[in-house]
Amino acid sequence: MNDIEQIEKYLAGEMSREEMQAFEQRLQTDEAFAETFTMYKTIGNEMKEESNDELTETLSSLNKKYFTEKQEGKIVEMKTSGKKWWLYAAAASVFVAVLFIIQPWKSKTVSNEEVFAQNAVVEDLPTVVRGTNNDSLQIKASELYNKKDYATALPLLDSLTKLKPGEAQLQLSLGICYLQTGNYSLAINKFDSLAAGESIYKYDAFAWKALAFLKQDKREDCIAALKQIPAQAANFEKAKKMIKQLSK
Amino acid sequence: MAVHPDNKYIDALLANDTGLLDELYAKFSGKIKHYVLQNNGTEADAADIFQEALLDIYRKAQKGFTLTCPMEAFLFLICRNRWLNQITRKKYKNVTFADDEGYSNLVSDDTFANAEQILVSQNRKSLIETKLQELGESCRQLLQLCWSGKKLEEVAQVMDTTYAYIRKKKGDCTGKLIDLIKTSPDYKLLLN
Repeated sequence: MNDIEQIEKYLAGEMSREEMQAFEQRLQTDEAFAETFTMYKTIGNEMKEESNDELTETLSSLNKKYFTEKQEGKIVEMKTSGKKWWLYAAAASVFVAVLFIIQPWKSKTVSNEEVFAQNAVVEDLPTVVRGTNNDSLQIKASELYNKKDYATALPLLDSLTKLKPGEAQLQLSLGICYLQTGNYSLAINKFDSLAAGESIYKYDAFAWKALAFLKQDKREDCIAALKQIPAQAANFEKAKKMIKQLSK
Repeated sequence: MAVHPDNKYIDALLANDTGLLDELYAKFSGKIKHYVLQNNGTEADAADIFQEALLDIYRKAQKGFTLTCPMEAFLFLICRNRWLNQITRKKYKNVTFADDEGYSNLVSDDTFANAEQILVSQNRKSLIETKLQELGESCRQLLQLCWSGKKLEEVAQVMDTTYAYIRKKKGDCTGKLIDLIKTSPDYKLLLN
């Protein structure tokens, strides 16, 4: 058994009385071992964090309220690091895709399923993680997600969003996984929190919330959610057309 | 030491009390902004420092901590420590180090001790995180998952493997991390 295994066994209370005595004896005499033991405990104490997403969210929105330049600072950071350009590219490509998917000349009444199918355009997640070292968990989650295996991708995305709470695209994808697997209230929760934020997916979140209502045949709620998308949003035209389709 | 009435802000952090936290921002964010701007920082820096400081205090409060001085003084101390730490790392110049804006009269030794502990904890984390980057990707990911509060059983599920393997691997990775940290001249930071 190596040192770490012994330390873990000791801390877990899995040692016999004799083993414990020998362990404590060694702590007294073997300085390097004692250092490893202390470091093991310190690392656990410092790094283990019950993440508190709710508090972080509250503080972030208060930050926006009380520090005006915050937004600018973030954008500059993205430009210089070059890490997030693909987020913008992805958002732009969704917009272009949407233009082609909406077919304004179609005028017959359509079912909820048809409207959903036309408008629920799922954007692929990037399978190459730029800027960070390649992250196999994210790659795996993205591949499953892009293959539309939402049920399998869901727990991976759930972990990822906890590791990277700031990545709005991952949050949106998790919401979409919930929606596609029939967990509507969890899906709507996710979309709501994105819609309340200021990420580039803010208005996509409104649209997805609307789609979640549509999937449950709640046309009126769906239309109400779409109406919250303002004229300056990239998906405003798409939302307007969807409202038209649904109002027929 | 008697608990200061401002301890309500500590409770607000623990309870995520949006109303009271808004009050906290309204009262104190201006001062911190002013301090950071005066010391070579931007408003965005101030915003980050302020939020991080509140999270520091929250983590401290989770382990049991009560405020015995005005919140403003404590918050200022934490933010100043954070900012000084950051600029020393970036090697900025022309920063007034001694300036404590008169707050030191308001705080007692135990408050300084708490502020000091937060600073130590921050330095430890930054050392651990630096060395974590030198580990292989699979180790790094595994340790981060383990620290995120997940049970080993759940981590095994996410990584698509068995509990026994994860437990073994977690031990190996922690061992490697400790070896890497021991090569750093600052490794004694983790020893007391």
